[in-house]
This record gives sequence, C-alpha cells and structure tokens, in this order.
Amino acid sequence: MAAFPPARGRVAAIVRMVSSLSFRIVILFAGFLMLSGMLVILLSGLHSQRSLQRQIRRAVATERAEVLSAAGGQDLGHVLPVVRNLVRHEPDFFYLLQDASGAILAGNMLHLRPVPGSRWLSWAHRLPYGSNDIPVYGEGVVLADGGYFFVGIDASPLSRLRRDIRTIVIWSLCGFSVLGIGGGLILSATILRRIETISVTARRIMGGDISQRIPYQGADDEFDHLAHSLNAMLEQNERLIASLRQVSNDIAHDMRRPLSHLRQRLETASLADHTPDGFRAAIDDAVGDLDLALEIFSSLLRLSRIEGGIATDTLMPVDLDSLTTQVAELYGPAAEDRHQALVVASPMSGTVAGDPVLLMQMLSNLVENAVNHTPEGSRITIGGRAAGDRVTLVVADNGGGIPSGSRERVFHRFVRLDSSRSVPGSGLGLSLVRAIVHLHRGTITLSDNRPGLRCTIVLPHIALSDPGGTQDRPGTTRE
Amino acid sequence: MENPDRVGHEIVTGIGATARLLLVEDDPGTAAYVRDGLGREGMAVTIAGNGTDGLSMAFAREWDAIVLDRMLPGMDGLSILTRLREAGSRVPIIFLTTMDGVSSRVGGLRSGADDYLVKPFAVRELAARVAVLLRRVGPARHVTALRVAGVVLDLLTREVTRDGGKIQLQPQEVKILEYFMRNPDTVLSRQMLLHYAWNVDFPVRTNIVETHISRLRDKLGQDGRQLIQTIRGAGYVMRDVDLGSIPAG
Repeated sequence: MAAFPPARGRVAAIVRMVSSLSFRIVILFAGFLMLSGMLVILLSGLHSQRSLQRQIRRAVATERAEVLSAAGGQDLGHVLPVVRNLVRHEPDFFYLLQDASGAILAGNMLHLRPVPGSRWLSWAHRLPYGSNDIPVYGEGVVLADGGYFFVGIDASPLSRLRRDIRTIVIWSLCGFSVLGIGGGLILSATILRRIETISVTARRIMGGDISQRIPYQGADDEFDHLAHSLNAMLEQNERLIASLRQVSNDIAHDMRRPLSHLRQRLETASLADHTPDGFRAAIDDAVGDLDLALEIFSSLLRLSRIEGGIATDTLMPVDLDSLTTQVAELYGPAAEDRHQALVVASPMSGTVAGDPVLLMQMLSNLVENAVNHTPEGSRITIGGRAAGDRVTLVVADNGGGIPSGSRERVFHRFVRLDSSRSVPGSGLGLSLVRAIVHLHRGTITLSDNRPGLRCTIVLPHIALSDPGGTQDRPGTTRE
Repeated sequence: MENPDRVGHEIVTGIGATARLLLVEDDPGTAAYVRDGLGREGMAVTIAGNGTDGLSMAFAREWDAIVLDRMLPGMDGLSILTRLREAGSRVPIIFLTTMDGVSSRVGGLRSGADDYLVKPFAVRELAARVAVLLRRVGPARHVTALRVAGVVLDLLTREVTRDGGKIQLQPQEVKILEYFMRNPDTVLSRQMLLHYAWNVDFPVRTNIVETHISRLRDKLGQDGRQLIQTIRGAGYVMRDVDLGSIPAG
C-alpha cells in the first residue's frame, strides 16, 4: 500500500506503529495472557512435583519397612544378611549399613553420618558407579546396637521435572512475547493503514481537492462506518462551501453595482465645474449609493441571523388580522398613487407564535413586491384563513406573474428576474421572506393566479387560549 | 437668516442651554463623526473611549443623554446600561449596535435603553432621535389636547381641527400627526416615523413615508408643505410658528 513511504519512512513507520494505541493495547493484552499462562504452568508443575515427591517418599518408606520386617530384628546381626542379599539383587534402591563406629558393613553407597529420618543426599555419598550425577532421597534408621541403616532411591525424575518446568516457562515466555509483539505489530499496522487512508484523504482535502472521499474497504466494519459518517460530513461541507462560494460571488457581483455607480458619480463630480450646490447634490447622490450598498450588507446579515435562528424570548402571539390591516394601511397610499387596488379580502382570525417585527417584514416584502412589480391598475389582495392547526396567508395580484420555471429560483439570494430589472431592489426580499417563514416553521409557495402571482404562506396556528404560545415555539438558538 | 436647525435645538433643550451628551464609543472615527454631527445640531458631546471610563463618567455628572455603543473594550454597553439603570439613573440612553438582529434590539430595550440605532447610521438620524429623547424628559404634561401652529389634536376623541375647522384623517394619519405634534420643531426621520406608526424596523424601498406625509399635508390645508417641512436627507419637521411670518417656498 502506498500508505507508508518505503525507504527512510520505514523506521518512522515502525516507531509510529510501536507507539500506536493499538500496539500498546495488544502488548498489554499479551502481557496479561503471558502472566496467566505462567501461573497455569507453575501451578500444574508444582502439583506434579508434589505428587512425584510423595511417590518417592512412599517407595522409600515401604522399602525400609520391608527390609526391617524381613530382617526380623532391629540390630546389625539381623539386618546385615538381608541388606547383603538386596544389594546383590535390587539395584533400583541404594542401601547402606554401618556399625556404630561408622564402618560400612554392606550397601552400595559411601559412608554417611548416622542421621535418622528422611534426607537428601548430594552426589558425594553415592558409590562411584552408574551415572554419577543423580540425586538420592532416602531414610536412615539408627539400629538398637548403634548401627545405622539407610534406604535411598534415585530422585532424578524430580529434578528432571523441575528442569522441564523451568524450560517450559522460559520457552513459553519467549513464545508469548514474540506472538504478542508480532500480533501487536500486525494489528496496529492494519488499523494504522486504515487510519492512514483517512488522513491521506484529509490531507488531500486540505490541499484543496474538496471532492476527495475516504475509500471503503467493503468490510462494513467500524472503519467503514467511520468513513461513511466522515464522507457524509464532507459531502455536506462541500455543499455548504459551494453555496458560500456562490453567495460571496453574488455579493461581490452585487456590491460592484452601487460601488461602481458611486465611483462614476464621484469621478464625474470631480471633473465637472460645479457650484457648491452642485457638489452638495453630487455628495448626496454618492451617499445614496453607499446607503444602498450598506443596506445590502444589512439585509445579508439579517438574513443569515434569521436563517441561524433567533432568541425564543422575542416570540409572542401575533394576531394576523392586525398584521394584515397594518400592512395594507402602510402600503395603501403608495398603491393608490399607482392606481392599484390594495384590498384585504377577508378578515383574518388567526394567531401565530412569532416575532411581530419579522412577520411584519415578511408580509411587507410580499406586498411591496406586488406594488412595485405589477403595472398600474392592478389589483392586489391580501387574504387568508385559519383552519385547524394551520393558518394560510395569501398575497395575490393580477400582474405579470412569474414563469413557473423561475418560481423556485426567485427565493435565492440576489436573484432578480429580467422583467424586474427596471425596479430598484437588492434581490434579497424573497430570500428574507422565505427565511422568516421557515423560522416560523411554515411553508411558502408561489403559484399562478391566472393571471398574476399568488403567494401562499402556511404557518402553524396557535389558539388564543394559549396566550404564551409556549408549547409551539420554533426551535431556536439563543444569543 | 437664522439657521432653522439652531431654532430647533434651542426649543428642544427648552432652557436655551446646550444639551450635554456623553458618547461612549471606542472607534475614534465614529466618535469624531458623532461629536461633530451632534455639535452642528448644538449639542456638546463628551467622548469616553472605553467601557470602564464610560461607566465612571456616566456617574460623574448629570448628562442630558447618553449614546452607548454595544461593543466596547473594558465593559460592554449592555453592562453599563444595566448598571446605570440599577443605580436608578433615568438619563435617556440610545444604544448603538452593529448587529441587525432582533435579539440585540430586544436585549437593549429590555435592559432599559430608550432607543437603539443600528450601525452604520447617519448622524442626522442619531441627532433626530436624541432630540426626541431630550424632549421626552421635559416637564410631564397631563394634557388632553396638543396644539401646534393652529392645529389641535384632541387626545381623547382623536379629533383634529385646524383653526376651528374639523379635519377628517385616517387613524394612521392621526398617529403620525400626534408624533409630530408631540415633537414640534424636531426633525423626525423616515425610520422613526416607520417605527412609531407601523412598528417597521427594516428598510422599505417604496416611498411609503413620503406618500403618507404628502396625504397628511394635503388634508391639513393649502400650506401643509410649510406646516410639515421636508429636511433633505434627514426627515420631516413640524414647525410651531405663525405660518404668516415665514415666506412660502
């Protein structure tokens, strides 16, 4: 895989692997496994050793008892012939019979100090024949006449067992270490490779290619799930970046208009041979251009604030009857000047939980659009009704309307249809209207009024018995 | 000829003295712009460059009004406002905010500001609002009728008469006229009229205010244009003078 660069990077890759979390986890796990393995081996080893020891002791005790009972008396005279006979026929045991002075009377061993009871013997006390490094375990008895009798057995199986246990422990220690470290390396390499593909993708995205996505391994494992979530996030980010780019392009484009007007005006003013009044007029016009530019900025800020949500404490029950009446009164004279009829079709009786200023702006923008974009003599109707848990608000006119193909587009920022180029405007009015409608959890649709435009807004209705409107407030953020 | 603005301010402050204002604003450019602009309207502006100074200066003496920026180094405008109101100060306060948001407006007014203005603003807009606020703290008038230049508005019946003759007005027109008559010789901006009469706090493109004013003028009589004058770039003003003495035009 191209994940690790080959030459110089190999050491670094191993260092990274060793210091990775998965490696540490595996080593820790191997360590615990090793400890428990050791414990099992040691316990079973000790158990085997104990039972072997018991066997050896029992064999020695039985032999000694048999010899003494065969002798028929606990003195040198009785024991000597039995031992002599045994030494000849039973080479599996070691025998020793000494008199009180320590002289050996019979046996296949060297002289011993006459200590009674069980004892381990070093190699120095064995007769120098057979294999000469076998340990001996035995029991001694001091006889009635001061003689000493000893029976011993080859205890090498016991020491072999001890040696075997030691060897097994050492080898399995090595085995566990190798397996643990190896497993840790393999596991962390696997995980790191998956992580590396993610970070390679991240680096490519940082490098500017925001269309990069994390490849799936097809295993449907945790990493594929992670990749899926991250890809979904990247998808959304790309969309947002694209729309942001579009918006900033639009802003740049739209701001150029008033600013270039301003520039032309100032240039003209500086070249012209003006009177003070002329200069004052030019300055006033320039301020007007700047005001338009600033207003576009304010509207954009307002738009993004509304789209980002609003503090819940500004929401209150808004009576749609007074809202429509107010807007109709506000625009009535302006419509009349244009010989348009602005009428409230039916008395409204709905109440919505909302921000009164924003709802006012929503309706005003729609009515203002209708007044500005329909010819003289048009009829503009504000109507609506409350039904169930919904309030429907309609602003309709019998003007030119909007072609069905453009009805969605007009809600976008800065979109202005060719037919309305002659009317001043920022192209933000309907974007604001839609943002306000969405903030109030409503929907807005444009349709054909045959002829003209019909704008229908549907908002959640609150009954007047719910004065605070507390149950039904739009999801919002606090400042 | 006398400058009409000067006539305006002297009537505004009532006692002929210069109104003293405290401006708490950290941006020197804006501060100078406001000081010069309000200075032209006859107000003396003292500048505090940060929130901490602003608070101590606000308590240091009696001000006729305070213009308070929201974003300030040291202590933000909202805290100053809260501290002043908690201390029982009733000085008129205008809040300046860069945020064109509803919540910042509500936050400022709820904390006890008398008015607010979104930056960037025209200094004439600020001057008009300050003038209205200065008038508001004048002697409390328990009046039932307003009288300006022969026009009488009965506040109880909402009836308007001019030199004894009844004038028929729409409720909205009465509301606008009342606003003018409560603030005679004070310039009222389009923004203020929109806010007062229709609770509109956003820019409107159509010349609605103009059409409403011109209708009101027509109904008030032949000399309506002299009664409610247009101040270019600033707004409208109702003159409380004997119209006979002012040359037409």
